[in-house]
Amino acid sequence: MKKIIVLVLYALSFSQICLAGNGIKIKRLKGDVRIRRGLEENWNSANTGILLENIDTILTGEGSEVVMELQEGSIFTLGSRSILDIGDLRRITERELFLYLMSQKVSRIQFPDKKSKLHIENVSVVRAERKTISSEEEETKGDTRMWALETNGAQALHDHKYYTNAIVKFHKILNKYSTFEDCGRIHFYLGNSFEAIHETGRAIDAYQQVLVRSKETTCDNQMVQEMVDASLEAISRLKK
Amino acid sequence: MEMSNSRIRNCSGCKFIYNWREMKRYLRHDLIVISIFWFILFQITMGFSQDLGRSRGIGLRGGFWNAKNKSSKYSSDRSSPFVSLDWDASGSITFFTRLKGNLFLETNISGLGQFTVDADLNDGNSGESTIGAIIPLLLGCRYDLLPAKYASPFQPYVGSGLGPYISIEHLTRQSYVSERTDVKFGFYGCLGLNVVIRSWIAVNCDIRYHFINFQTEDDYSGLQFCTGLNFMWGKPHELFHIEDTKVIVRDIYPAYYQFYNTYPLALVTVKNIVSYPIEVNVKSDIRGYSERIQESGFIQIAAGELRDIPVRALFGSKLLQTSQQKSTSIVLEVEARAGATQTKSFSEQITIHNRNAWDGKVDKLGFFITTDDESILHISREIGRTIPDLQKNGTRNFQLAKVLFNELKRRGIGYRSDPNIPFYKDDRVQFAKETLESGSGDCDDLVVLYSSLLESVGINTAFIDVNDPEKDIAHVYLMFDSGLPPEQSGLMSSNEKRFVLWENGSDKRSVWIPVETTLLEEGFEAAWKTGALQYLQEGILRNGVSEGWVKIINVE
Repeated sequence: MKKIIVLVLYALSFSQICLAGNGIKIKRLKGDVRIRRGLEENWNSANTGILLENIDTILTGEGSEVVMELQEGSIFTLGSRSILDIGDLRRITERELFLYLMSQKVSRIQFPDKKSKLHIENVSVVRAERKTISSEEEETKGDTRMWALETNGAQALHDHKYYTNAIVKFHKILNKYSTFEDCGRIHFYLGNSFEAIHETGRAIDAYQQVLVRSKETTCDNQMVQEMVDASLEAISRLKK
Repeated sequence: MEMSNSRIRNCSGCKFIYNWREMKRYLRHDLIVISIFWFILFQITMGFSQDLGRSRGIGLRGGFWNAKNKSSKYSSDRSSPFVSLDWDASGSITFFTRLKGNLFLETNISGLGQFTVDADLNDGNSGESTIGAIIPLLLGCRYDLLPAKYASPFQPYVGSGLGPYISIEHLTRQSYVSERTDVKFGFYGCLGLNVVIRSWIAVNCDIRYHFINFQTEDDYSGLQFCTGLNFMWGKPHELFHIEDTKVIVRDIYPAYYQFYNTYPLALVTVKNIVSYPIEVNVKSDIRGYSERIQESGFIQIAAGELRDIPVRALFGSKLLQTSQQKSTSIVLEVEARAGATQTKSFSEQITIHNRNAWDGKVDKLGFFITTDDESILHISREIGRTIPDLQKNGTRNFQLAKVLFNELKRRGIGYRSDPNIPFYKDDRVQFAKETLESGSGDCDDLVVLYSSLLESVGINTAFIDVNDPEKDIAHVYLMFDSGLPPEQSGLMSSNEKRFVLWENGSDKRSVWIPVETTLLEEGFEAAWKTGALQYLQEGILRNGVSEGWVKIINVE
């Protein structure tokens, strides 16, 4: 009888430990990996086994990597020079995605005045059109770094087939940063993501933006050319 | 000079052409009387305004009828025992009803009485007398010539009708008596004038010519002249109908009084039912609460057109003195003019709530903000004096907001939920001064207080309205504009989850700081952290903003 009671207590304790692991757990890490808890200002070094909550943020340095175990048991690997909000790992449904896209569209509606007509911008893919309004603003070095870190994090979402999450994240990046030259990289991954969820029209829109943005002056390299070729092929494939 | 009756009767040509001399003498006398009568009537009626006539009526008239082309006369000669008397009298009763517009249907019963005597006064058995009567029963139409847009008490008309004319003659000659009854058909044409004194009574003058047997040669064909009174009833000739009245605002919240001065309280749908344009003005008055009667101004409505006319009220700050909820009425008067003027009045019930009542709509919470209240200005001036260096620092707004928040904490302002008042469905919001005096308030009271302070020092604020579908009670807190562009957000915090990038009506975004105002007792840092965390969890992670249950409402 005593043995049965002890076994039951162990089982209960074990189950408590398992239930306590509701957050995302760091399974393995390499190099400089930091976490910032909730609304705290400071970054702290991450350790294996730490539980992360949806309000936390994780950052990897140059040559670093972190492997996380998600709630459903799947694995998510964040590569080097990336930043990711843990909240971005919650699976976004297609309904939530389109609600988000529509809310973005509504927020871009300008209040009509007597002189101008009401103009609703097309935001099936955000083209960061505000850049033309604030084109005189210059990006700080910190901004460039943050933009690149966030883009890498969004790309990780895409690579792990979190397509809807990736779309939302890329849109947020485009909204947040004033001027940057990515040579169409973000729109390439947006096109891939829309294509993966069978949104052909939006995918074509995104791939066409790749062709536009790849013409920026600093975009003359092989990687960009590969992106352009892939985009052209995708456009022709999707238009059939 | 007189002409004998026999000469008139034998002169076929004279039946239609009057004995001019006889007529002149006759008419001259009557014309003088008639002229005096009309002059007096004219003077009386000029003092009255013209009302549009009603739809039905009855006319009673008396006069004469020159049947047989004879005028009434009496002749005698002292040297002769013979006496001759011809006397006609006519009367009519007319019933009329409006068919449409200026067209009326008339039924008319007239009567003409004739009394003819030729007698020898020395011989009681001689002489001849004829009593005749003709009773037409006529159906016809009358058309008023002047449209209602020409305001005039004088309403001329034309008319025509037809029907049977029943004639009865009783002849007595010495011992011979005969009676003859005949029915003939004929028609008439008429001209007339109604002088409308009030919408229910008019003086009438009517001239008509009767064509009996459809000819002028008949014995009774002739001119009938009558004058009398028309008594009218039924619906007046209307210029418009009120098709519908929609009361848009049945509940007046005193705090929103400035809003009601531009927002319509009701819509009155007016239809022009005449064939010419009219102008309509709607006046509104809320008894005991309006500053004065508010008018829409005259709006033109084309013939047959429907128009919605907005009704507004003019409230003043005295509405804020309302301490208890009361029912009252909004009195509406629709005035139409098109020459004549017509008005219709009616009222609708509305409720005036007490000065602190709030309908729960966060976009109206801004009406409770009082940036020019003395107690608010006193605090903001006091704080402004203690930190003069703020102007030099790009984080001026942030520092000022922090100090003001902590000042409220220092004064002991705290959170207290509103009391539950049975059957009272409105929320209650305290003005900033009331919260300062009472020392506490719930989330909306504290949001109003803090926003009033911030707005009074030029810091833009916005309410964050949360209607969480998983909770029963809504919540509101606020965020304020730090004034920093997104690129300088690092001056606020390196953690972007602590602020919101938001536009304040313009196309430029800036860094906004969410603050949970119910945590006054914990201090600014805790309130900021909690506000930011709430926005992150509810607005972003749970998609509250995308799904619409988290709303940001700019204070304007």
